[in-house]
Amino acid sequence: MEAESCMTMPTETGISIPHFCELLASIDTVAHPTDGAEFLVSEPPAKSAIPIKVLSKARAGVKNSAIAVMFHGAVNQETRKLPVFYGDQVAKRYGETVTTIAIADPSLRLHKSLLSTWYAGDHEISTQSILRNLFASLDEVFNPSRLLFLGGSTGAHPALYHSREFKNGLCLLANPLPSISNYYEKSVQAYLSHCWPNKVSSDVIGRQVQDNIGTLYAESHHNTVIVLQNSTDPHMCGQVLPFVKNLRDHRKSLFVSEYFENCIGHNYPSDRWMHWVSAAINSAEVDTMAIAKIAAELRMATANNGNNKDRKPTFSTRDIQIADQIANQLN
Amino acid sequence: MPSNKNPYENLPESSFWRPAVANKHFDDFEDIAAPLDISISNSVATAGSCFAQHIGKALLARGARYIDLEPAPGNLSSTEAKAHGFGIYSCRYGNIYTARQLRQLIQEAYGDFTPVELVWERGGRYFDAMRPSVDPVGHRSPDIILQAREKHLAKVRELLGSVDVFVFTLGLTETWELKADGTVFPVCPGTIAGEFSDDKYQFRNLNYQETIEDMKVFNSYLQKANSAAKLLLTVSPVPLTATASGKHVLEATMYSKSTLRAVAGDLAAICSNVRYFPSYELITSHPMRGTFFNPDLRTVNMHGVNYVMKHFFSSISGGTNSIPAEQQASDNAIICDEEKLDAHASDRRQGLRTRLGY
Repeated sequence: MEAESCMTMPTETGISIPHFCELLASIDTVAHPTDGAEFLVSEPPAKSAIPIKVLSKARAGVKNSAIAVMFHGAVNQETRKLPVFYGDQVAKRYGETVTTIAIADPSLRLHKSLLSTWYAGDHEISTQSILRNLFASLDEVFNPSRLLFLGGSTGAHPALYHSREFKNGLCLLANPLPSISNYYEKSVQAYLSHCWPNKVSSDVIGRQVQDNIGTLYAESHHNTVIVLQNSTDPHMCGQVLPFVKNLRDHRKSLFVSEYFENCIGHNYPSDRWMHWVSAAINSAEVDTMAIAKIAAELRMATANNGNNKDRKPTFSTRDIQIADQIANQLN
Repeated sequence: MPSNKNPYENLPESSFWRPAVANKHFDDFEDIAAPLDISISNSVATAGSCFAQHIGKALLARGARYIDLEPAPGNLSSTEAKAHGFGIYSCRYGNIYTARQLRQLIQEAYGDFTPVELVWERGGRYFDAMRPSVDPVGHRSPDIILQAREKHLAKVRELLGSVDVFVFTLGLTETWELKADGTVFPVCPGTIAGEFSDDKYQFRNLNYQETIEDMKVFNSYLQKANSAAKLLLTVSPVPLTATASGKHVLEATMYSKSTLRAVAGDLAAICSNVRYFPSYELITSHPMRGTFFNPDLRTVNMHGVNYVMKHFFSSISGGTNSIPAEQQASDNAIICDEEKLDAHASDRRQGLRTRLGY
């Protein structure tokens, strides 16, 4: 069926995880990420639901195709309307071969001032638990060749948390913030007061919700993790380095910190990010070295194109086609 | 009865450096731009130097009635469209760096000026010398250039006749002109196309008198075409890439920007339909400590653009700095609005500095 026909859904507590998997299986194609089907998924006893959007569905012929799960980072609700679904570019480029699922953090709904709630849940919904069950079901029902978890900044927290148990899981992160309690105190306080009213921090952080993902990775992880880091990110020392020291298996983890001349701070250049996403999708194996090699080749190919343009800024066939089209429209 | 209060006693806080600037972090500056009698419902057009591109994009994203009279053919991707000069300004005129270039364009559009040299050649293809960057590979024949230019000029006339607010960003005073008739070009001949010759072309650094005269001429055409139209001037904060003046590029930049800033301010004082918006001050003034520039100390970073837009939209009627969800850029590699975090940081000033990486 077409993606659009899935838009009808319960509005209160949402559909169940098995029902979501059924509906996802029944989607043939998503013509464009903006046309993707939106769902509200929940489990009892939650009083709320998680907004999920299917941005792309892999072609039927692609057997055991990969599933990419996308998490957003901090959301300024003064300029963005909820729910926020991140991943259009990935879906546009790789949607034919990868099923792309964007997850919106439901807890942001509780107050307009909230920027990050880490997909950690609130007094009405146990987001971490529901997502854990959702991803287990997706893996079981669709048996994907790989489960990609993509997230930047605070979106890296759920990506790391939920990918950890999957042997076919590949977690690709940019400037991750894997600890809630090490974040800006006022942001954490805002999360507690709006999402867990009448509870104290010690009852929530680290108890009701998983706090520092690094402690889990220090124990073990079955997934593969690639951490992409802007070396000028101010969170480098407080968040990133304490986390990556837990990544001891070098076959299953890679930490890449770079300086970007025109991208300073808690940002990551979009073209470089897409090189890594492309490599993560196209690599024959979930192997950090193989993925890094492809990402490096893509970067060099882009750089060479730029250099060639500088040396010989002559006339690509496509540009000439466009020029001719413009000229033809004059008549 | 004559007042014995001194003239400074009743002035607002914004008139005094210490409370308005020195005692505040720049993120808390208020009322820098005087309220503009412009509404979000007005139709808006943009033109000017590179920085004007940010203004057009921001206006469009925030739901303003942004005019685009020469849209890209539907089959072009956004990257292709931009590379071919579409969607950058309200017409496909490319960057208009100098007031002289703007004057020429409008006089040409109304048949009062005909450049002697309109077509440049490179590698067997032909380029519009008045806007060589909009066709990156040129066209097959000079005739196509002339035909396209006619259509373009018609659109420029249409624009002037229909726009409520024409936003122009003054960028440079330095230019290259054809000795034969004084035609100025947006780029030095021989860079994108054409061939440089000392005999044919000469460097020109337009001074205050020339620049304000050019702007007055443009404004008279605008008012004739559309008596209700307003002209909103800004000055690009982007320094010169290079100067041909023989001066150090820093000194040349300061001359150029000072001249343009003075012209913009004086024109707003003289002409009832002209307004000035201080984006130049918001980016380059020393209280901002260079924060809003990229490491090249030339191009403006996204924080700077957002900062200017925040002040711009707070100065117009019905303005909102929020971007409707459907208009949000879909090409964010990573959605992260961490710029808001300083509202939560315990020390706002420290938070902002940390965020910006110093």
